[in-house]
Amino acid sequence: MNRKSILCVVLAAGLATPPRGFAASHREAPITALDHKADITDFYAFVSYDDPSKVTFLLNVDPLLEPGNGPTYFPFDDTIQYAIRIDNNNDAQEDVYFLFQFQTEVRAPNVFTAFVGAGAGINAPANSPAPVPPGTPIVPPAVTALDGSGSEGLNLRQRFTVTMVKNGVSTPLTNQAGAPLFAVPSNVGPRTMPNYPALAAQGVYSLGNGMRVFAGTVDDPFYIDLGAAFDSLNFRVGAGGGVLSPAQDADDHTNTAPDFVSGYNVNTIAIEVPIALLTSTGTRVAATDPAATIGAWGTTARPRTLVRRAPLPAASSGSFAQVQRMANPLINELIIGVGYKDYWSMTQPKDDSQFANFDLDPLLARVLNAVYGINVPAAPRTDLLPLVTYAPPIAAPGTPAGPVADLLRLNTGVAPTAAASRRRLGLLAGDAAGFPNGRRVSDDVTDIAARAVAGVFNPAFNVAPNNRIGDGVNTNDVPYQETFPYVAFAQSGRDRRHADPGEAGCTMNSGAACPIN
Amino acid sequence: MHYEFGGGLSYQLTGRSLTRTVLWGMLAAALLGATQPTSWQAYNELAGTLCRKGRDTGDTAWYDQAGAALRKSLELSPGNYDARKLQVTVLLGRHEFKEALRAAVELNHKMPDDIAGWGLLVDANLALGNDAEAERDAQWILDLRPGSKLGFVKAAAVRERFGDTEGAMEFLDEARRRTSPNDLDEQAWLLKENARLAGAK
Repeated sequence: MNRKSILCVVLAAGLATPPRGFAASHREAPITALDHKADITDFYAFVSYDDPSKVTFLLNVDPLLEPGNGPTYFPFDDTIQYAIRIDNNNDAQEDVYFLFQFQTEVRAPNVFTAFVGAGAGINAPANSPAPVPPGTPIVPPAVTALDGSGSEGLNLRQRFTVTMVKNGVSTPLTNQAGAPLFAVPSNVGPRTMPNYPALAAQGVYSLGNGMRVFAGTVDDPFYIDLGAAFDSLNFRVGAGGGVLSPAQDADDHTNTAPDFVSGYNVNTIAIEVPIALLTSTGTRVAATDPAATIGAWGTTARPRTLVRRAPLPAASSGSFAQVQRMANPLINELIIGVGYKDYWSMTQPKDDSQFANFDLDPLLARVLNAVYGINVPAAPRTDLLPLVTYAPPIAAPGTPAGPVADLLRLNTGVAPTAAASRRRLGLLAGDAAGFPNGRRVSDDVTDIAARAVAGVFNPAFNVAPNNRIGDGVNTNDVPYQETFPYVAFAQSGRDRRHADPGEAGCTMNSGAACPIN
Repeated sequence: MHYEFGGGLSYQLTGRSLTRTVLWGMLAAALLGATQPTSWQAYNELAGTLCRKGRDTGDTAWYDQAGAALRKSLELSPGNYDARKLQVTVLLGRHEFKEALRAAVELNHKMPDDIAGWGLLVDANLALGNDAEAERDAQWILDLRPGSKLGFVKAAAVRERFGDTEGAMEFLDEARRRTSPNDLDEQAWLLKENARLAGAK
């Protein structure tokens, strides 16, 4: 369900490719289809809603986590190196990056589930069979803390480390409170975790220098009518069949199609960083300053097997092999050919010129043209350059364009949009703080990406139906937070709800039923 | 055994010269060819089996026969990718290394996710003495498909070139563990290679 996916379906439908193509959505490349833990579902970068002096990055991995799927739920992979990388001088190479690595501890090896607890704890009753005497603690107290008292039921617990590398200097970032950094476990349910929001909030740590971090399982902030998209673009008639009515398009708070990601969780790594630590000038500058725009991307990497063994000299570049990278929510899925996807995932953004033909003459646009008969711009698609170079309207005029590279570009000088004025269509709707100027959790990248490929960045093509393409899912199933980490905390394993077609409560679990047809 | 494949291709083989996998491969290709005389896939199957025979025996005549089968395949389906890959194998078998490298590079650009294409690059570069390039290409296989048999086989060849005999044997063992026990030819070839390296130590 990588938001990269919907138009992949268009492609698949248009070219009558076999169903295998449909499976390449949130597992868009063959290698990540085999490696869920390393699969980046989404990458976000935006100026913090409540602090315009900082940028928040979110790296989401491990797609479609069913909240009730115990007993071990969804730990991060200790062997994966997760990274968030930032270019600040327009060369598409990292100048600042953050590395995250996890370490799992099993605190009660004989207990059959990762998380357990109830009330003040449950002891063996009077009729307890020998040899366990009555009064022996059997079930620990409910989980109310990540560490210390109240954390006894966290049988499986993960610590993590954060390292900032800036200009080649590596700096471990530690919890300013002195304790280890703990990942927030999934929300098992109200008996085990009676106040989950309070528990999860303990996972927000200050790293000093104005930085904060959070890692753990959260509600998947993405939303899409995945089933309709995968059914060869069989979008609901109730949602305009793929082209929204003006009223539907204007309503950012009502779904007219089911959100197939509703009720699912995802693992996130969130870090909030002062802008001054990110820009090349070391300061926060105005949006009109070329230094204001950064480019960011996320990566996952695994230890690699090297051709050369120690002590022979290692000619290879490092001890990790990149499994995946992600910046914009559409490039690998919608643009890159299937014979190149793994190779693309493992290469570096600075080398993306080798994929320029894909970027600037996307086959998908031709499929849209062929299938729907809509007019699309001719190649080369210079209207798409803001997605793959530093260019207006995201970057200030005069910003060096840099090489063609898939980076999520964010003008850090653009102030965040207040919640009441925030638009799901971001920049397309005049909300300058939204995708493709960075990406917020609420941005409807499915609709934006589809319209971008249809050419709406070019005024001549910013017309109906190109500029009303949409799936009818306009908002998430649960409210986001307005403070770090901005995503909603994890959905309850016991009480989660997936909003299916025909069920009442299509919008935020209330209101009218989701249409079946 | 006189073997008629159709399309003007025939082979005189003795049963003793055929290992089980090769025999089955050729029979399968023959069946496919008999029932689907216009099947370019059948000619590719046959060519692949003949190339394997060439690898196992070191007899370049097998590659010549494979080349003939590939010409039929390409007549039926011009430019088909599998046949073009096998053509590189044939070129390598005939020791036409420069042409093999040129063709392998072209194929790699066409489909960089295909580790078999990277494997052909390793072979060609090793043959031409381009050791650094061979190492780079073998590393790509190990990175693209961690734990793949092909990656271990190709990286073993590079390790051997670098004088790391023990390391090469380690990788060949890894490759053998990833080979079906029913694939006796491949099992045997990997054991033979390992024995050769052990003898060279």
